[in-house]
Amino acid sequence: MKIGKIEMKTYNKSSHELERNHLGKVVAITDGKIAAIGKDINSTLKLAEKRYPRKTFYVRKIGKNPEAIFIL
Amino acid sequence: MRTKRVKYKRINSNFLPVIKIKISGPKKAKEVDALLDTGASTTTITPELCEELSLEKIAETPVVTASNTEIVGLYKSKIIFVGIPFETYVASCKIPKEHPIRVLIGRDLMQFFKIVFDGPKVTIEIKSDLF
Repeated sequence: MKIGKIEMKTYNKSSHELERNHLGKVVAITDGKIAAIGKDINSTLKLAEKRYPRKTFYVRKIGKNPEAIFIL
Repeated sequence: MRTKRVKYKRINSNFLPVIKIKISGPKKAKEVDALLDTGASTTTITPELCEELSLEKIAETPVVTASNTEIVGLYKSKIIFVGIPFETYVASCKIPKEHPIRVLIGRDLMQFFKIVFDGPKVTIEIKSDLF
C-alpha cells in the first residue's frame, strides 16, 4: 500500500472535526474511512484491525503535524 | 516491585545499554540484541529483519528521524522483553549497516517499566511489578 490521495483526502475532509475533538490522538484510515482513533499507535491499530481485518491503514497524528513516531 | 540488573554490552569498544530480546513473526522467531533508545517513541527494527521474520505489514505512517521525515511501514510482531511478552506494532526503519544493532526498544515498551541508566556502574536497572 502506498499512501495515496484518498487517505489524505479522507483526513482533510474530516480534519476540522478531528482536530476539534481528538487533537493529539492517533487516527487510522483505510479505504476512505476513519477506521479508528486512539491515544497511541498500538491501541489505534488494534481497534482498526478488529473493525477492518486484513486491511492496511494509513496512521497519523491528529493535528497540524502528522508524524506519530519520532526516532531521534 | 522487583528489579532486574543488566550490564551494558561492549560493542565495537563502546558500552551500550543493550538487552537480549526475542522477536517473532508468524513463522519464525529470533533472539537479537536491542538498544534501549529513549529517543525512539516506537520500537523500531531494520527492513531486513522484518523480511527475515516475515512480519505482516499493517500500516504506513510518517516518521521524524534525526536527519529527515519519511514514510515507514508498521508491522505486527511479538516481542519478549525482560521475560515479558508484548504484542506490538514495530516501525521498519533503516539502521546503518556499520551499526551492529538491528532493534531499538522504544518508549512504547519502556513505558511499562522504571528504568535507571546507571552510567558509572555501566548497568541498566529495570523495575517492574510484572516480573
